Amino acid sequence: MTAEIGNFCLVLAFMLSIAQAAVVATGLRRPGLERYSEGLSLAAAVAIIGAFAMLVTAFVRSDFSVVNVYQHSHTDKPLLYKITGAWGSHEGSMLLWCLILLVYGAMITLRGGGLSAGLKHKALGVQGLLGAAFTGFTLFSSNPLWRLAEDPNRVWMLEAAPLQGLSLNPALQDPGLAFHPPMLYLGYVGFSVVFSFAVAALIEGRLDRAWARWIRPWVLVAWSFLTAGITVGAFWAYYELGWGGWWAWDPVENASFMPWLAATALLHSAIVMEKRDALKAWTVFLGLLAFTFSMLGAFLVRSGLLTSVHAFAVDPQRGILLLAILLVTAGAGFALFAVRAPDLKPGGLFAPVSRETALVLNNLLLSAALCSVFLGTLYPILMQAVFNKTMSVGEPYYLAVFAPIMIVALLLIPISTLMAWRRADLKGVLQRLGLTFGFAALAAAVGLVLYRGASWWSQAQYLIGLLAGFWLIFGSFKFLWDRTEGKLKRATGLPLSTWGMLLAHIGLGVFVLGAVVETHAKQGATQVMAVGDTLKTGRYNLTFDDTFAATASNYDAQGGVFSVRDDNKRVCEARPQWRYYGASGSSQSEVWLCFTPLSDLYIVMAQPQTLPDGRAAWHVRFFYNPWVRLIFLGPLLMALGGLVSLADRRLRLGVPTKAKPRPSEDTSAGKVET
Amino acid sequence: MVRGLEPRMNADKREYFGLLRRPRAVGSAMLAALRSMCVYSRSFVVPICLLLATTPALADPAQDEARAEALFREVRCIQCQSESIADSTAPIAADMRRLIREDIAAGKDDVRIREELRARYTDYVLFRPRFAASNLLLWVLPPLIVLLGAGLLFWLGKKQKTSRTYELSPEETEKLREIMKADD
Ligand code: HEM
Repeated sequence: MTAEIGNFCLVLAFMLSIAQAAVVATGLRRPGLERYSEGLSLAAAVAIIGAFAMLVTAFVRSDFSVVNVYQHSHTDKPLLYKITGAWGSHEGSMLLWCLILLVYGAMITLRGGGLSAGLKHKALGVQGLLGAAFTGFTLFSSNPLWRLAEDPNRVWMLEAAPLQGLSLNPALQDPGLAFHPPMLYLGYVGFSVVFSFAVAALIEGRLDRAWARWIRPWVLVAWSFLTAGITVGAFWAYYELGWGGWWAWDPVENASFMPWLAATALLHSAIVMEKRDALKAWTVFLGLLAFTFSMLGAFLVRSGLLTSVHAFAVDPQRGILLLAILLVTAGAGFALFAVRAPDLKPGGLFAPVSRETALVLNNLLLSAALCSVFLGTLYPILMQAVFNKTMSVGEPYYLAVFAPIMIVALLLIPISTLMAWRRADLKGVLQRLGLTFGFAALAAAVGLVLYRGASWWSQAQYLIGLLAGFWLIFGSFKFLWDRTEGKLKRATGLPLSTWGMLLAHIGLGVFVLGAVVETHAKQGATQVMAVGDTLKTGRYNLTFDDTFAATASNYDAQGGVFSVRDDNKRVCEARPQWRYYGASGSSQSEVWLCFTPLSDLYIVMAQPQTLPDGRAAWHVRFFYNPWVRLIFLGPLLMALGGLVSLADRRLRLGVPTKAKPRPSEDTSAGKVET
Repeated sequence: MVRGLEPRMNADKREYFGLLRRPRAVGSAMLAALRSMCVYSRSFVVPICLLLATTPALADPAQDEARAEALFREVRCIQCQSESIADSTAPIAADMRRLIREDIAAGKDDVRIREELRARYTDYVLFRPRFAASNLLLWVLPPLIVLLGAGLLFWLGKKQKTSRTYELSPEETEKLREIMKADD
């Protein structure tokens, strides 16, 4: 019965979403019914929760009469992977997408206390339309709850329910799958709320500072989840795929990075709009763009256009449907924007030197960076489709085009945070930052001396990267020092949004340091090894001491016992594995990481083989990844910063304002220079 | 373009300042750089380029290995999923690495090695798209956005400065008061 109940709930969610949009539509003509959209959004959320719960139940129970369970599960899998298998496929992940979409819709109702009724209901209407589109797509073309007999593709010529499933891709049998897709989707789909608010405001024709304040928490929530989701994904790729890297500029990775860049720009422009009543059209545009890129990502991953480690194999038909949803929703949003934007009253004038100008520069640079990622991702696809020519765009391109743009943006951050709103004194700010820059340059120079670099060019890249990272971190501390004058009491009095900003920018600096050091100073070696052999990477020696066998319910593994020595001093014992997943007949290596606080020694064994002399041997890769921890720590700090800023009381909706006036926002940059 | 010639990873054990202590390495690097610039600008007519193009490269094993490592990161493993041959463990990647090492040992410069790879496997094999007319947008649009945007900002700033100073109208003063009120 589970699948039937689930299907019923899914149909219900679809119909309730349509109703939610419909009542708002009628309300545009004759007001009255639109307030029911609130109740409908709650009901739709409950229905979709029901559908999703039924899917998880089917997985937990290994109900192989359900196509999706049959294809992606197995009785021998541990319970955790049975549950996570529910979103390990295209169909299941679409249901997860719908779940999050409708729950966000309900959150508009629940958390929208301070909103004007008109705006709230119109946003709910748009959210209902989005909900109907995606639940409809899931229901009719990608339903994870179909029974074998109902599957319209009819590829399963099975009379009775099979006794065993085909199991899940071994790479997905990992705790990473428990967190990565849900977090990513909480990010992607969170921008739907911003999209709905943007369309609602365009319909109402009213865009003011209050609007910017309302969307800011939603942007922060979605942005923080997206940041964390991408990070978890990168870490997962790092330790699961066994190639020693963490970011490949793979189209699917880029697909998650594009909404992130758009949202980061939005985060900053929304602040300008809130504080200065300016950049209205641009902020709305970014609001539409962020979710458009989210949908583009969902489409790319499922289009069949890409071969990627992360992509789902899906027939093109469903890809076309997703593309249609994307084009219709985004197209309608931007068309409305084109009609309405000229009517928006331009906001206040900017002084050329002010925090708002700096934030405009931030938006300019982030947009250009976004453009390079967008072009780099779509160019090969378009070249293939239009000219039938194959080409590749990879790391060298992004290092040449994306990186310089971002470096300029990073160098601007400490300056911009010290600038006052409305009118700043650039010379004064630069003077205040002189010593900070000196320290950053010193730290970078020390780093360069320690770096046994190759060419002048790689040394220059290294130096600039380190400088940017240290400058960001030191600059944030300088800001903190100026605002508190070193007094703890004043530090506790700083608004949470200021702490959020500091954490995010420091996290960015931490990430930059990690990325620069890891990519430049990484060392690695590969060799076919049997017991007794050694392999050297940098100053580390790896010795293959012994082998062992291990079994779990879902795999059989052969493992190696390796000792790692640093000039004869033993550093750690590594036990990587080569696992054979009988249920799917595939193998997968299990990486071993020797953790140190900052750096990793990374050992993988793969491709078992027999040497001519009869000894068993493996293909062993041994990497030294210096400061790699910072690459994952930095973005988590950023996400934390977003959440801290979110907790700021002033951002919460419906909270009555305090009686005591806060210090004027305009002085939030510390001293106002005159 | 010179960039591609330079090793980006220090897989070898050379030390800092290592280059300065080996004039031959510096010499061959500079030669290679100049030469590739000549090829890129297609200005073979310039006699000095002709001269350079015929000079044999000065061999230096460490420099060679660094060059190889840098090239590996630019070359796509054609049977893998968006992996460079530096990262891939596939047999074909190992073959391609071997071929590139041989080419370097044979004295071919990076530009020629890239061209030959391209001839054999099409543009698909290089992660750095060519700077060609069909790829113009890819290379030029992002920096252009920055330049045009910055120019626009500058122009607006100038215009504003000359147009008027801040003098709030009564209406604006009223609005400002509202805003300040809403802020607390
Ligand atoms: C590229 C990555 C960046 C990230 C991840 C990032 C992140 C953040 C976050 C999370 C906040 C807090 C937002 C809020 O409270 O709603 C913030 C605020 C801020 N950011 Fe960034 N930022 C980035 C780049 C930049 C750049 C390039 C600039 C300047 C050119 C900049 C200048 C600022 C300023 C001035 C604020 C404070 C605005 C205010 O509340 O008064 N940021 N940033």
